[in-house]
Amino acid sequence: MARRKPGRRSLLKTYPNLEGVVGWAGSIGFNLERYLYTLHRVTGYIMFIYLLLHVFVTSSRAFGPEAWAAAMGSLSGPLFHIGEFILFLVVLFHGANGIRLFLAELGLGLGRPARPVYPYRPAFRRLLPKVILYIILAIWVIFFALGYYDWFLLGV
Amino acid sequence: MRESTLWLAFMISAILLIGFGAYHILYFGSAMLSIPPGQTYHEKISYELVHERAKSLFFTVMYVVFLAVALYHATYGIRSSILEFTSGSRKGKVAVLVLAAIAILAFIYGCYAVIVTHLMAVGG
Repeated sequence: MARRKPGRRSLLKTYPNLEGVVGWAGSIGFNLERYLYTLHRVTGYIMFIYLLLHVFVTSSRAFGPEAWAAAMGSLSGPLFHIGEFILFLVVLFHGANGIRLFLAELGLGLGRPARPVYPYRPAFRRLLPKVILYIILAIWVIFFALGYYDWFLLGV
Repeated sequence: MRESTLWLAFMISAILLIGFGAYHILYFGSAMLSIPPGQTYHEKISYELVHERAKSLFFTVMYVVFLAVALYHATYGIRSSILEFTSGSRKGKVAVLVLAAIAILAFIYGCYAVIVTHLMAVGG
């Protein structure tokens, strides 16, 4: 007799990841790092879509000056300008948070591996990873301000 | 290829992208820290300057490497989340293959444009 396929409810108990994207939005015990993780992925998807469009648009230069002028002409206007700035923020966030994740991957400030004895103390609750996190967020805010000044006040 | 090798390549591509990305943003998107100084954004994206830059082998090679690195990083990143959702199912594998095909097509198209523009610029 064929084994019955487990239902979604029982699978969710065994594999909490099956909540999918909904599971990224929040859950019990969510903290700042979890939201940064979600944002890192979302910004990654945005950048991938942008990259494909960017390759498509900038490749128009291979078809002569008219094609290039037409492509660039379609990308002007205030809405595009705002979109560029949002993209800058997305890239900045993804890059800055990526550096944080890279440092965590190297184990910087996470301490030596220890036995998981109750009450558990996550490695990210240590001081250095927290300091790195706040530095990264501060960098993002500073560049946000600089970028705003650059994009909208100086006028690129 | 081993999963650990792919992961290492992903991390290396991240480091490279920070350098490439910063240069690219400062080159094209900044008024304050413009590289090179004295050129406006609109001048930089004018066809004359695009054509002029295309003569440079440095820019040509940089664009190709940048594109390859960016596409690899993006594809691997999205693959990770697809595998996370699909837990190695057939649908997930198909999605990864489609993703890889999109990335390869984008790479071929981008390289074609960069190389053709370079040859046009060098040829006069």
